[in-house]
Amino acid sequence: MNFKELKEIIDLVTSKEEIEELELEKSGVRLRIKRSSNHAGSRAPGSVATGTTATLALDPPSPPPPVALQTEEDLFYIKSPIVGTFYQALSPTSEPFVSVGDFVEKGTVVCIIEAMKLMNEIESDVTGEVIRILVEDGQPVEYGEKLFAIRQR
Amino acid sequence: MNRKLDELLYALMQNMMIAVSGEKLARDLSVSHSTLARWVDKLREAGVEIRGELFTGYRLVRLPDVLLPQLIRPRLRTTMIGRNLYHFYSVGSTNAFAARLLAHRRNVSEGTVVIAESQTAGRGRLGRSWHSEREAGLYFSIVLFPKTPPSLAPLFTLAAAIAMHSAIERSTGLDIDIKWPNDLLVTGKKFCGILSEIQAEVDLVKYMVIGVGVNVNHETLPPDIAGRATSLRIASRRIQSRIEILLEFFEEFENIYMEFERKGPRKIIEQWTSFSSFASGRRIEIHDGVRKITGVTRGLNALGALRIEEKGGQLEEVYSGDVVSWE
Repeated sequence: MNFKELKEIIDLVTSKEEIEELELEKSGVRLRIKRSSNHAGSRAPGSVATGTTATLALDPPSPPPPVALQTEEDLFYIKSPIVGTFYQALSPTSEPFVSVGDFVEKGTVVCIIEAMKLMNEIESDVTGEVIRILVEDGQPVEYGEKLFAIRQR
Repeated sequence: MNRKLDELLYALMQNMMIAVSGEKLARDLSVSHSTLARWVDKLREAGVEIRGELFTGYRLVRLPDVLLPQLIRPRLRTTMIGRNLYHFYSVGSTNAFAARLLAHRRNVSEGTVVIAESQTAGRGRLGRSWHSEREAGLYFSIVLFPKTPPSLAPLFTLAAAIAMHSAIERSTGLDIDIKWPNDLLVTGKKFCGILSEIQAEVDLVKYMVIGVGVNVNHETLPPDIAGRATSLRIASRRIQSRIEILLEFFEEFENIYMEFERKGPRKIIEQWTSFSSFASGRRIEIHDGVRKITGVTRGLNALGALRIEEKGGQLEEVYSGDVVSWE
């Protein structure tokens, strides 16, 4: 669950409108809130329309990363084009291609994804600062998985 | 430079038993006498045995086993693979040279092959080195521009293993096995490795370079790898023709590659499965960087990943890793 979703829930629960129905499923985390329809007009802009239900199917429990609050703005994510293993460096003894805080340009090699001895050099699609590295060295990654968060310049 | 050396060597090869006057060679190649003498020295450094001096004439002592484009080209049976050849007596790594070509030249044609008599920095997975002995092995890289999505690209590395398997069985009569994903084994030991590189966007392959190293005529291997590595010569007890294997491979690989582009990867999966004793029912241990997975192999999935049934019965699909032990 990201910050925006969390905020929406807080808005719903703390708004002055009456809550008609509240359904909460715990382990799979399913939250369902229904408000009464006779308080139109008092809504804060952006909140869910009255009379409708807001259903949020949330991911299994994972602590919301605190940094997400300030960085969710317009980060660009470099994603994996194939299923494979993520490598931050050319070999276990060499320096990583990039580290958090580094500036990368469009075309800078940021990591290697390997599948079946096919080494896929991943280049940054944008110019900016590496804010987060989302995968650990040597970990398997899925197709389309986010690898790096870049704050664009 | 290498192209000039190839021309000189080819000229000497056409006059095997006789000494060719330095005067004539220099004239034919339109170079000065001192340049010619320097090139002859270069060839000698590369292991070619040449007798004589500029004023006595030069003579080849024996027919060298050098993969000259002049010898390969007339015998090619392909329309694409190997049509454009770069030949080196020595190069850092053929994959690295191919990548440099692609970075700096606009008109690199598909099927371009970079071939080297020896590599000074032959590479393996995770920065491991590949022992590249002069004139004993085949060390080459192929440039491809597949139109398939990047997620299917690893299948081309299986295709290379299949093609090499067929090429070697046909030209040597040896019984070859494939260890997942693309190591070739003979008598249970590795003699061929395939390491590939790709540049891709999410839905488009910009280029792919498939690098192949084959131990063909090594008489011995360094002691640190001799326990698990071998050569075709050691396995068959005779010298094998590198050029025959190469020509067979080019033809076989081109056929598989073109069929993939036309009809998809089914045949690759089928052939790999029928060539490899690792495909199913084999108890193995594999390391994928963080985990050790032990179980029994259950074939490949549609992307070429190895299915392993673990002890509890659950199925793992492995996309990368080293098969470290097997029964």
